[in-house]
Formats: sequence, structure tokens, C-alpha cells
Amino acid sequence: MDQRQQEYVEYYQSRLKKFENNPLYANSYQSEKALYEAIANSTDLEEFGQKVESENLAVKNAIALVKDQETARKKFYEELKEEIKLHAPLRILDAVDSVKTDLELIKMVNDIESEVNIEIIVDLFTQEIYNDLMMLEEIEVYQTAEVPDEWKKEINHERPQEMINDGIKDWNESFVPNARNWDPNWQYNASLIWEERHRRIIPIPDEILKKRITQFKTYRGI
Amino acid sequence: MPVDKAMADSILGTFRKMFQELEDKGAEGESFQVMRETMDRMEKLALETNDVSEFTAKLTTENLFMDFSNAYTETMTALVKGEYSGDGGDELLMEKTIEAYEHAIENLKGNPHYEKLKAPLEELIEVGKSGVSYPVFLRIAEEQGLNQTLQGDMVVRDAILSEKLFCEFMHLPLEVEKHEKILKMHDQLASQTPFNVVDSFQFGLERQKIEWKYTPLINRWHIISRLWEKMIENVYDWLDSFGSFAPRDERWMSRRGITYTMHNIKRTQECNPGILKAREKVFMEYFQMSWDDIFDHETFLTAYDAKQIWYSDQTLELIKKAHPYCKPFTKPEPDLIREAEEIYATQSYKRPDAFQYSEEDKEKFIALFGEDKWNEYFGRQ
Repeated sequence: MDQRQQEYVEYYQSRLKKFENNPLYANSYQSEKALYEAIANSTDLEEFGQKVESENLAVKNAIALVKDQETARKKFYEELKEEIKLHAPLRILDAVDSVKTDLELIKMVNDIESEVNIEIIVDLFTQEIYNDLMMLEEIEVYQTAEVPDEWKKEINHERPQEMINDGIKDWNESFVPNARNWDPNWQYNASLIWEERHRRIIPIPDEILKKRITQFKTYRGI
Repeated sequence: MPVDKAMADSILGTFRKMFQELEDKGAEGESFQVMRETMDRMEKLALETNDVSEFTAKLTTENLFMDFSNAYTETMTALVKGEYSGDGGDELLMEKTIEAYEHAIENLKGNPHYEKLKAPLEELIEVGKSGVSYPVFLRIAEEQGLNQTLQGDMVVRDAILSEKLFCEFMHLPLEVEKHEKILKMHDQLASQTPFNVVDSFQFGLERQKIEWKYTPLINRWHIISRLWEKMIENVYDWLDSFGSFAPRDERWMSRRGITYTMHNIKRTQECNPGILKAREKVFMEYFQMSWDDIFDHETFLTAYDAKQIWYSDQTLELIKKAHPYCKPFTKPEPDLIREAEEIYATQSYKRPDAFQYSEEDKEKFIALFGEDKWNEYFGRQ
């Protein structure tokens, strides 16, 4: 083994060490080990180059890193019950073994991330009910306020109705067109509010949230 | 009407630059043609769409960002392979690597973190020019954590510190606590690595988890605060509406004349108690909290200490005294009205230092944005 090859052996050894004893990078450790062993067991650099080429070691190494990171992301989003964000690691892990080149790998990951990002944006429209909570509270406060008879029309009916009219107008003229820029068939799906990723950000009891959802549908004309 | 030019420029600027750089290098081929077509489509959308949200939605849903990036990667790879295909071997690789780092330093000019970001690049260039072979250079970069430093970890840590300081300045205790935990996690992960540089992927996940945990807590804090703000205001306005000064106060004065002004006053007098009662019901239903819980609650105490409560102490005490009377179909005691009139006459309703920044706040702001910005925004304080 000449000096240059020995220097490369040491370089690949240093790469291997980076992933040693780190459970997050189990696949990367193995693929780095394969590269290290390939160079350590080659008679010269040319043979190493041929091994890298014929066994596709560089691409396998890139795939291993993607596998490690996506496996960690999958576990992470499962724990957090982030169902939509979970789509990206699931789809990437599903496709990763079928790629043959580094460019294919990059394209596959980019395309899936882009596709899932749109799903995440569309899913986040569900949280509009949280943004509307203050208005829903105001509507309820005015509708139910105990006031003398002479004020009932203005306070209990006209004022909340004005808020509702504004809410419906804004929904139809602004919110829905924006949502449909992302998904032309988008419709508000109130049942998604109860899914953990949305429910957890609205810190009020279930019974009250049920009431707010009914109100929200009226406020937005859904 | 096209998207605002400045907005379109800020969104497309990076892509235009990437395209131009490759065009200048004489890039060609199918992938570069894809870049050109994607760029043209993005420019066309900037002219055809009506606003930024429609523009960004189209760029994303038509997958233009990704198509451009994928084609860029392919074009770059082809260019690099072409440059490296000669017989120069390791020496050429070293030369090209150093050239790339030098180019990267040039591109960083104008970046606010220029000094910090260029340091690891300069270190790499120095190692590369020290006479070591290419594999030794690669090994040193690996062993000394220089490759990981290139991911900009020191800038990330600085950014977390700045965000924490900003939250301190804004008196947002949960956000401060969140950033402290993120920072602690960062340093803990860094301490487990040989060169004190975090694995950005691993840290990204841990950071997301902390942010995820705090979101509902922060939301709860904001809702509690906004509910008691309105409740306090209801009582304050209700008591004042009985004062002799009410017809002259802008809260009730109507440009249409005294009849309308008196109508406004009557509305507050007769309706605010019912409105307050309905708000108290929401407060109880949401958080099982009542009026009496407000003034000892951390949200109120934090706002008070941060001088974010507009009312003077005297007014707050009067509001507390008036609250038991603020019930539907009732009126306040004459003594309370008299006290409100005295406060109004002496203009002592407002806390003298309400919404003023302390010396400590000022120091934090200056540390974040500089003295010029402080003088620009708060110079007259």
C-alpha cells in the first residue's frame, strides 16, 4: 500500500469514527464501514475506485444517510402524532431502495418533500378555527349578554350578525381562494380539528370546542 | 396586476443568481434547459398572478422550486464532472476545492454573519494550502469538525440567543423558557461531539420537539391574557360611563351630537354588565378561572411587571371595587362614581410609566438591533 492510499485509508477511518456508537446512524456506519474496508483491502487506489463503481458504494452511502435520518424523522413524527408530516419520511423510506444514482436520490427526496409540504400547508388551514376563537367568543358574548329589552336587537342580534356577515365575506373572498391556490378542490373539513396535531393547540375543553366548531361553521358560512 | 416587484425580486433573486452563474460558466444541456424553462415560468407567474400568496402557491404547487433545484444539481454535477475529468488527480481536486471555498467566501459578502461564517472556510483554505495531500486535507477537515462547522452551527446558536433576548425584551416568559431549553439542548448535544459542534439534523428534531411542547402552553397564555384584558376594560368603561365627564370623553362622544353621545353612554351603562357576565362565563368554561383569579395570575403579574398594564394602580383598585356591582341591571355605588371622577379630573387613570421601556429593556433592544434603531423608534422617550 503506497502512502497516498494509506492517507485515504485514514481519511475513510475518520469518516467511520464519526458514526461510531451513534444509534441514529446505524446504516451510515455500515455503509462507511463498507467504504473503509474496500479501500483498506484494495491493493491500490485503482482497485478501490473499481470497487466503489461496481458495488455502487458512494450511492449506497448516500442512501444509508437518508435512511438513517428518515427513520429518525418517522419515529419522531409518530411519537408526536404528526400524521401529515409523517408522510415525508414514510414515502422517502418506501422509495429509497429503488434509486440507482445520487441524482435520482436527490430528486426523489426533493420531490417528496415538496409534495408533502403542500399537504402540510393545506392541513394547516384546519387551524383557522384557532385563529377565529376570539371572534367566536365575541359573537357568543354579544349573543348571550343579558341586556335590557331595548338593547336586545342591537346587542344580541345586529352586532353578532355583522360579525358573522364579515366572517362569511372574508371566508369567501379571501380565505377560500387562497386555500384553493394550494388545492383546487379544497373544502374545510371540521372533523380534522379533533386530530391530535390540531386539537392540542386549542387549549379549551372538548365540550366547549364542540360549541365553537358549530359557531365556526356559522361564522364562516360552511 | 403583477406581484409587487420588490417581493417578486426577493423571492426570485436567489434563483436568478444561480441561473446567471451557470450561464456565465457556459452551462448547457438538457438539465440547464430545464432550469431556463423553469426560470421563465417563474418570471411569467410573477407578472400574471395577483398577489404574493397566489404567486408563492403557484410556484410551490407547480413544483417550480424543486424542478429548478433538481435541474441545478444535475447541471452542477455535470459541470463538476467535466472539470474533474482531466488527469490532474488529487492536486486538481485540492485546487478546485480551495477555489470553491474562496468563491463561497465571496458569496457570503453582505451576509450579517459574514465574519463567523467565513472563519471555518478560511481555516479549510489554510489547511488546503499548507502543503498536505488531498486525503490528509479531507481527514483533517473531518477530524477537526470543520465540515460540520460549515453547516453554520455557531450562527444557529447566536440566532437562538438573539431570539431569547428578543422574547425577554417583549416579556414573554414561556417563549424565553422555550429558547432556554432549546439552547440547553443545543449545548448538550454539542458537548457530546468531539469538536463541540452539533449534528444539525439531530438538533433540528430536538428543537422541533421543544417547540411542539410549548405551542399549546403559549396559546393558553395568550387566550387568558386577552380575556382578562377585555373583562377589566368592561368594568372600567362601565364605571366611567356614570361619571359626569362621560359626555366629554372620546369613548362615548358622537360627532352626530349629544343625543347620540348620551345613547352611547346609556349603552355602556346598561349593557356592559351583561357583556362582562358573558365574558366571565367564557373565562370559566375555558380555564375554570374567575375574576378573582386574574390579579394573581402569572399572565397578569408578568404584564404588570413589564409595564404593559395601561391602568394606574389607583384605577385598578377602583376597578376591583366596582366589579361586584357590575352585574346586569345594576348601577355602581355613588362613592365609586365620585372616585372615578376624581381620578379622571386629575388624569391619574393611566399608569405613568405604562408601555415605557426600562433601562434593562433598552439594553436588550440595543444588543439586538443597535443604538440607531433604538433612537429611531424610541428616541423621544
